[in-house]
Amino acid sequence: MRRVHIIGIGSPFGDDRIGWEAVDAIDKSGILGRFPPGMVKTFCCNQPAVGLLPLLSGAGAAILIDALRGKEAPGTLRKVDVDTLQPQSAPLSSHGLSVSDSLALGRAVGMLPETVLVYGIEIGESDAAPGASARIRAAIPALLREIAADLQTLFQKQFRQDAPCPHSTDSMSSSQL
Amino acid sequence: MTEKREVSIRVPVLARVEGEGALEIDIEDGRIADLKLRIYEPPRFFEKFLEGRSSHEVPDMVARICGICPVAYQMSAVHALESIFGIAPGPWVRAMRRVMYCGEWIESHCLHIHLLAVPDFLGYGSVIEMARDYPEEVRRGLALQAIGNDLIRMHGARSVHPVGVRVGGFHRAPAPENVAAMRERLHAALPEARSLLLWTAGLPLGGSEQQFTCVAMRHASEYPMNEGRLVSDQGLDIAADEYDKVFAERQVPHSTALHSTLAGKPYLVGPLARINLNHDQLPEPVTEALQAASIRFPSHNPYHGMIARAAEVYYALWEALRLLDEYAVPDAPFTEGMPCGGIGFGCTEAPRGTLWHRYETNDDGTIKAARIVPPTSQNQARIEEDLRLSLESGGLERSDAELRRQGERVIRNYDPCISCSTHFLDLKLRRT
Repeated sequence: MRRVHIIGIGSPFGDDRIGWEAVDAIDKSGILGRFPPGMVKTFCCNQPAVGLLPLLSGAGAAILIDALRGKEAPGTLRKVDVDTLQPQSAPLSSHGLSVSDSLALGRAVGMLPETVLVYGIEIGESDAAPGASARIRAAIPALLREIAADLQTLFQKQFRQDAPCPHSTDSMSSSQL
Repeated sequence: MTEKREVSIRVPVLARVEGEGALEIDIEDGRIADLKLRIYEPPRFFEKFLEGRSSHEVPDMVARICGICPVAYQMSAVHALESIFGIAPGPWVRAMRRVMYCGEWIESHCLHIHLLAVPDFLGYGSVIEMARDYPEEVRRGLALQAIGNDLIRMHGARSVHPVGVRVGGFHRAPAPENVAAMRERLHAALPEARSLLLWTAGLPLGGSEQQFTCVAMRHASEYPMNEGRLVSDQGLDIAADEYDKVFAERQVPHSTALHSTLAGKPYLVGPLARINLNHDQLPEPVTEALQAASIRFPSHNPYHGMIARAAEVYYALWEALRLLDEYAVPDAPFTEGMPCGGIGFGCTEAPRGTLWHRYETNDDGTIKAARIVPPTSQNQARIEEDLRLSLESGGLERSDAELRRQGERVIRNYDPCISCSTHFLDLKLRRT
């Protein structure tokens, strides 16, 4: 069985911090205790260009959480289809390599885990306040439910593939958020 | 008749908090009448954030200025504060700071070479396109970059910013078994880094010689990182605290970054300037590889900056290995000092070039005033000068798209720190 890495991507600036705060909420939620010890790991990443691909290394599946600037209201949680993410055509600086670029690069050189799930939380126009605002944090309870369900699905799938074990499957399927 | 077109190069899907970069070019009678590169630069805000903070908070705060070179900001800051507080951290800390800096050079240079430079030279739109034809080379680059990441992490890191650095040294010493494992990885990576250097030197770089002044630090007995004097190839030779006497920073209306000049002219900092001024300090394996690649420094072809980066990656692996060969756990990984009032300067060689800090502290050691001059603002006038020369020599009658492509390529060659949040460049081109 291979590990699941949950990676919050963010920066110290305002609502862009939501990816890190989401990971903190996952750590404190107790969700991870329902799965085999050490098999789900959480990370924070502040610069996808530098840190994202190394954090995907060794994982069988990855769940990414990032701030998103789209058309929905701030605080809206979206599950983003990783196949629809378009890499940027020509970044001007290595500082500009985005999540979608890093994933596309990882795919091109065969470094991506088998499953990559991406959650975006709409942040709208953000300022440089010390932390994410309450309206953005409001997305976290729904995110925790989604991630608990994702983990359950991933581990059930892995158990079916690796070594069918009705006992373990039963015990995990009883874990509901 | 004035024609004005705006081209937005990118709309991000998953966005960081965005800043904005913009290039404005006015072409009159077949010549560039005006050219402005606007770069959003974060250190300006941080200078104010630092005021009133305790000195022990500074390394963690300045690390947030740049997601790619946090170590550089920490290094210039701790040197400046130690000079005020009269702290001499000793040889173990000095060596480990160099090791950490090696990690950041490796990481940052590998990113620039593989993500920006080589795709440009080989005619790919991005590293993702290039990876389909050069998967092994890209994997090699990513593996070297990961060694750089882990060298930084070895000195005490959390997953976001490195937090091992403190005024006086490090919070803790790496465990000997971790150092031994790292030495094995460094050793195994040497042939890979040599191959990278030979590969970059064999690429069709193009470009031509330009006249510019190179500025970097220089140390009597080593390739410069944390210590040395500021020198140029035009005879400059000063201590860090004399910076203000010869370098001028001026506000320009089109940019939040200050433009730095030396004797009223643009100048270059960064790997090419550094190797031009310090190639005699490179160890034998690196000079041998440069000879094997038929590369000679000094060079004033800006595109040779990529070869300089590859040479510094190879050098940084050798240097980290040399320093870790003598590793022993110290009695204490830091030296205590008593915070006090004063003025201090720190000047170190960030991956992108000389990074100068000045701090003034109150009697209790809290920060009264901070000034940070990063490499990108020093290079900004040089980038604009390079853009003028390169675009004019290629012919201004070319289409807007071609001018934009070449402009982007020139900018990418410097890998400007256009804030970790800046993702796109607006081009405003006016022809009359």
